[in-house]
Amino acid sequence: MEGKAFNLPRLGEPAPQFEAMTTHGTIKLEDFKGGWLILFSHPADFTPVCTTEFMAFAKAHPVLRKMNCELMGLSIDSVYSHIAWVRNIEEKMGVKITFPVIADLNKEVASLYGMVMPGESRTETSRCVFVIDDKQILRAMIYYPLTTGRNIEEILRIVEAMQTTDKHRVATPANWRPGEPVIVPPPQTQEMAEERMKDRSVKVTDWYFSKKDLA
Amino acid sequence: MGCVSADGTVSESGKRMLRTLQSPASPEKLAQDLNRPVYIVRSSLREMEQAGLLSRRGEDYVTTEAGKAKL
Repeated sequence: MEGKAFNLPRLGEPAPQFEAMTTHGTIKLEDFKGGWLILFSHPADFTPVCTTEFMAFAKAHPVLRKMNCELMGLSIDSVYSHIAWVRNIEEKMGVKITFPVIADLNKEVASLYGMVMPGESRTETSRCVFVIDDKQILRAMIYYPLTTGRNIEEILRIVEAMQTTDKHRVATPANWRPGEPVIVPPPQTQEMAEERMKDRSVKVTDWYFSKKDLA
Repeated sequence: MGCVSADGTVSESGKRMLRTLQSPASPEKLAQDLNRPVYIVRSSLREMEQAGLLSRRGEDYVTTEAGKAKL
């Protein structure tokens, strides 16, 4: 795309820093330090699937804030288009968009985060989600195609799962929901494997597979 | 939150910050006092400092005479 290099950020590494014009003024990624951030891209303003996603994200925003997690959108549209669109969503759909939206006309942030998939579109970002923790480390990425709206409940679940992992030093099994048993990290030495088999504080299926309920 | 326009007009949210920062405070304290997300406060303080309406004292910001004139 006009010689621009498109990176792919990596999980477990610092999220690429940027400064961008948004509907809430000029924002730097570091402004979110101390809290979690869901940075997500959409293909274009004034399009139907994106509108449903924005409304779903907006409805989830209060829940996310209680989890110390903010939202920030992005597309390769102007800030004027963004302002017009969020005003339209509020007027026509009755949903107020409470998070900032990056106007990434020069594709700077899209390039840093690998948001453009030329096989889908050379001018629009795909539906990407980047979950960035309170130390600004990239913790999860989701990439959805242009035609498929995202599942915002799953994004909330991912954030809650990772915050649970950070707080309790556990892992979460497939389809985990808050309140369900979590996975105790497997032992990494023979000695600890033997000790795990005798551990009555967790539910041991085998030395490598143990679960427990969180208090 | 984009609180200083091109002609120097300060938004209502910006004025609230300028009023509060007549006593020095950190971005985190200000966010708590004004019940605003900290990212908005950090962004706004940076903008108003660049416009000369605030100055830094270590981690804290304080309203300048130019900032007081906007109130």
